[in-house]
Amino acid sequence: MEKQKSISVADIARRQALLIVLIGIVIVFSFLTEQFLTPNNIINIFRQISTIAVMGAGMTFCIVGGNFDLSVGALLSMCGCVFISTYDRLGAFPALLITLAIGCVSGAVCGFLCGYLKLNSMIVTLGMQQVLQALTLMYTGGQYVQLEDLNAPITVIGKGNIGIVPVSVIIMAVFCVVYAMILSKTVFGHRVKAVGSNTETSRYSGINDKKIVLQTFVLSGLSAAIGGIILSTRGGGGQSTMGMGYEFDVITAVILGGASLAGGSGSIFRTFIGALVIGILKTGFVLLGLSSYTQYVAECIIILFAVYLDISAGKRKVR
Amino acid sequence: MKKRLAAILLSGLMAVSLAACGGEAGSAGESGGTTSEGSAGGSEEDSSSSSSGGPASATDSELPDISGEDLSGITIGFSMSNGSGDSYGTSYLNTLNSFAEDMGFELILLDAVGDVTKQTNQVQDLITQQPDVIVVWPVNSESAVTSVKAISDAGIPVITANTNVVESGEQYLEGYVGPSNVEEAKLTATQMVEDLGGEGNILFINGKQGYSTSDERKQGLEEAIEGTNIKIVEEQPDEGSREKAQQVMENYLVKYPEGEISAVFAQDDNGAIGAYNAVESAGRVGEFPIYAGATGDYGTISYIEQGLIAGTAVQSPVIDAQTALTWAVWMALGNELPAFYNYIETPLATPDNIASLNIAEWES
Amino acid sequence: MKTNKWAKFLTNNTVVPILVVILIIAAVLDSRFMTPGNLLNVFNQNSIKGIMAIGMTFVIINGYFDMSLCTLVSLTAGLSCGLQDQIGLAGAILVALLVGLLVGVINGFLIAYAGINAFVVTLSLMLGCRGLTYIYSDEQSIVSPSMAFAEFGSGKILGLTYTSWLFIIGLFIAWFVLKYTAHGRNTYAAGGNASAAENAGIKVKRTIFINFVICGVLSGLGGVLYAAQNGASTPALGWPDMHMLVIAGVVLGGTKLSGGVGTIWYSLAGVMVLGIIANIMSLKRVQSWVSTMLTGLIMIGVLYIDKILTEKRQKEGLKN
Repeated sequence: MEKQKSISVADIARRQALLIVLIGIVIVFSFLTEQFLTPNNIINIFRQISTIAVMGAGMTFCIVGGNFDLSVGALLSMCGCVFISTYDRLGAFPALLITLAIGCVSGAVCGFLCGYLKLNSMIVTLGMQQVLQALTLMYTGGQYVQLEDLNAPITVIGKGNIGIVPVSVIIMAVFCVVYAMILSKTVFGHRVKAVGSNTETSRYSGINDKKIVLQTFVLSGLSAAIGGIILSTRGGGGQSTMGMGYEFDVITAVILGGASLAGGSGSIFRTFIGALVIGILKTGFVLLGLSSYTQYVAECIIILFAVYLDISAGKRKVR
Repeated sequence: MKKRLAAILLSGLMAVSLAACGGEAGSAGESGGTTSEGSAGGSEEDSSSSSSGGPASATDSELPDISGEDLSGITIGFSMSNGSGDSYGTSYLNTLNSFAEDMGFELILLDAVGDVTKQTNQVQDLITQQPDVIVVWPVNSESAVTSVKAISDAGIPVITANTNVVESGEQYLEGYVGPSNVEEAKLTATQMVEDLGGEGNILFINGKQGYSTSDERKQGLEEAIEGTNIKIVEEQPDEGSREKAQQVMENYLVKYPEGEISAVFAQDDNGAIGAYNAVESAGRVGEFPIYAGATGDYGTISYIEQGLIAGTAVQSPVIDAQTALTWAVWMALGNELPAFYNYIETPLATPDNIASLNIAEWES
Repeated sequence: MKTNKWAKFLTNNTVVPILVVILIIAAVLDSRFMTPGNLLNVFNQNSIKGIMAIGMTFVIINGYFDMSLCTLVSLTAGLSCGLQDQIGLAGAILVALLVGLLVGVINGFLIAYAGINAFVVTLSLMLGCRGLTYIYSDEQSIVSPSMAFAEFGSGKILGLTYTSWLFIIGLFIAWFVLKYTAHGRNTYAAGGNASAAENAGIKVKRTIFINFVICGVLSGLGGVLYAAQNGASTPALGWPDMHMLVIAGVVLGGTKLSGGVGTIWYSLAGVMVLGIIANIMSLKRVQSWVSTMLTGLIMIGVLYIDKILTEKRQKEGLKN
């Protein structure tokens, strides 16, 4: 696709489709409801997307590496429930370690199956999702797991604030920045992109693509574990199905963020913007008094619109 | 375990027959059996009744004593809606299994995990196995009509438990056993009307969409506030999850600053606790009362004791499950249900009366 | 020599030994499994998934997949019930199928002609359908006013439901199309190697488009049939992973996600394997989480076996 030498406004618009969409919906909603731009609402939105953004960062690694991780929803449920129940029995630090370990191990299993055995990541992670869901059910016995003390110090993660900023938002910010730096600034990050864009070629460059894929899944699993900790400490408890369907929100965030699903390119920052768009839609429609399901129709239109802009600017890879 | 169950059943019997309030006989005619008060007031275990004059349309039929019979030849089929979706379902399911084991009859229990199509298939599987009676807890009251029709066509007596099918499906049933969702919510909402003095704007947190229990509880709420100056200004579903309810409430709190909310009415205790968590996070505790249409989780009792939840109808999954099976076995022994609607007791609990209700703890 | 032929057949068509093994295990675990009544039951219970798997097979052989099925079924189910009062039963069903067609057209157009990634397109259509379903049905389930509709859903001839007969007819039509028509050949070619097919003069884009339309219509039909079976529609029908179960059935059968390989009979077998497992779980009254765990492990296991066999075949220089 030949682009003209002179850069027109339309060109800029096309290339920055995501930001245009973001600014667009912010304007629309602030126009339609007076509570939208209030500090309360803004903090609310950021807090509500913290889980999706954290998991989106992890998912970005997977997708840049050329794979999908559909197990993150079930993994979130498992980590949330495990964290709450081990906290009461063993204390904060062991609970944290165990939960993060579970996230990493689950990710490693997926990563092994996809990276070393080269099985199709969609079906494999779907299978893992079923396994994780079953294990969580078995572990919790189907019961709601609750903290003995609903105001235990650990709940500051999900519920607490530092000043006016929620702790979960701070965690999200730190996490996303770290992941972003790993992806863009480290050798590892470059290798992930190389593996994602062309696995064969990357091998010739001496990259151990199997290990890289495994590592991307571990990062994704880790992010799901943290997401589970944040979500479960918000309510002080966990249900074995609490993460069900989350994987779609997370993947939508990554897609909105413009990561190429063929692998090879993507940015944590843009995924974060994608998560932000979702969060704005979620709360915006409720403020308008519309069915919360309207958000899905909006997401559909926005994705297609953003993708169309990207394609006409020659950015998105095909298939 | 056996002794405890027998004790529960016997004290239930005692409470039912000792209760003072004479309620009206229920619908669809009844033969024999002492009726006591409707599903309001009184407790399941204790003989002290603090009845608040409940609705008279419910029927509390005296639970038959089946513990003396030989039940080894009896097979009951049970199509469960969802045994792993929440604590209530799980407690219910566990009770079904332990009750069957203790009483000595065979139970074929299939769990549809909340999937409508799975229930349709599982009902077919149950029919193949030819039990004496089939109990269905519908995933969806409308979709289940074809299932109960199929059971009836196959010549097997069928009853619904905990959730009923819609009216058009009742012709295939022998009856219904379980809480009256409409009455429960109405009971709680009536308390709310009283507390609010008949005026105010309330926020409604509905349960799972397309789920009949939610619809019936909403109906109860609407019946209670009819004719008053109370308005439902917001309604959003929480999909039966505390976390989602918390999110919904957070959004509401943003939309309605201090002073604009009179009360929050959640369809069940999951929604109410989720809402409470949001309120507590925002530092707005005590601004308005929170009600739960019905409560099925024993852990919620402590919330009521602390006054964090202003009112609810207590529904014990253990009683619910045992009652359903008891009636099913009763039918399998060749008897008829005393009435079409056999409601279990779901007393109103408020911070004031909770201590006197003496609600026996159930396994969570 | 003859055993070699059998061995070749079995390794080329992995689903056959899997099906046989599952049948044997099921029969051993429970004597009621092998009864005609139960076997008919299993077939009937999975015929709607089977019909949708037919559509999905076309798309997968072409090298793509369709996620929008998940929520399209609830939309068409809702429409087929909700519109009856306004335009009658036939009208409602027709509109529902047209919506399925429309979704297929949008998918096909965006993927084939606009060149957008299939995952993105079908995912966004899935989201869109989900929203529309809840908004249209007002988050309620909708009862079908017409009794004839519900009777069709549960009526039987010779022990098989009308739906099952539809499935059987569909299987034969699909088999014919895939094997003997130009479109069928094009589908395999485009799925195996799109650029080579293009160079050979095949209209790859049109082929992709048609396949997504087929999938959309059949998925829409699936939703209508679910509504008929239950006499009502629920907004949560199909969520969150009906599309994955259909895809899993097709892939389990041996059709490769990479495209170019597969038959409609594979999909029949794959769907039935999953159905048999669910059935034996019911008969043995296994707890639901065990069934979930097993389904997951089997999905991964089958992929792994298939991979090993593919490598073995490649090593021996045998072409597919």
